[in-house]
Amino acid sequence: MLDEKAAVLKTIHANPCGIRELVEKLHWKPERVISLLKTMQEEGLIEFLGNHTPNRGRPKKLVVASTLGAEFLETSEECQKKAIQINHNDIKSAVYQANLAKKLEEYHVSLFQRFWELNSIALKIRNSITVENTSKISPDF
Amino acid sequence: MLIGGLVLPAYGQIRTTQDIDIAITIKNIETLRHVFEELRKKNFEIPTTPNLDAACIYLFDRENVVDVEIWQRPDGVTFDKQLLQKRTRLPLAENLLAWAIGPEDFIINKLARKDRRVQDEIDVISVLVRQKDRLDENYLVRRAKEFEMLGLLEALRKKAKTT
Repeated sequence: MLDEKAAVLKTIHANPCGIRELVEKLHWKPERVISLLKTMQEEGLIEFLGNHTPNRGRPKKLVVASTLGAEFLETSEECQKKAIQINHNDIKSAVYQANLAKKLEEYHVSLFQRFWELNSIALKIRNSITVENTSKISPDF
Repeated sequence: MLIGGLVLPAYGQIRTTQDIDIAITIKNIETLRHVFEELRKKNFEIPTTPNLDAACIYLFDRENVVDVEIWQRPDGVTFDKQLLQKRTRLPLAENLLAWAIGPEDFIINKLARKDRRVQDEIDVISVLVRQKDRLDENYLVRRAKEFEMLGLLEALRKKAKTT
């Protein structure tokens, strides 16, 4: 439940939106979103603001994070940072790469030389992509 | 003093990085102004004005097309005597030596980042594995406690051991 509330707050924090838009952004069932929003409103985490548009029909209600909601989101993000984010494969790969670096060290290979080689290749690829994209956008240049 | 991905080949795995992170400690605004002037003369783009309170100053090296981040208050780093004792002089290239953060402070800096990503944790694991018997345990634990990172450090260690 806490994660779900944080997900709602994260979605509306920067860009308050209507309930329908929120349902689309979260990819959850509408009933689930509406029920959660009701609870969150009771808890003071969100507010509904009327958004008067020149269009005909019912004015859209915007879901907005309250100050308490913003604090809740901040605390929730801090809590999430307490947990490990990497998965089993990431760890396996990190251990493998560290052992590979160890081996290079044992063979007196300069790790920084390897690093510069690798980085210069990566930068060349990055720059070539940038040039390619630029030429696609402005073929006259 | 260098921090971040550029230091990694010295302690952990080798991976690419697109920016350069440097930690500095400057006590008066005049010195910082002077640093800004010198950097601008050397074709660095600095969009901000000198400010001693800024946690990080963002620069752009126009010549090499590289972002540079100058940290005045890097996460998980306390500028003290021990930090300076732990730093190392790295041979970045021929005739190019640079001071770099020590391995223990490197780990804590990575873990304490407010915007810690998966990559930071991968970097830490690689340092823990490669520097296994070379880390100053007491110092590492003390720094981890100082920044409330001991639980995370131990959890990562356990994971690395069981993988």
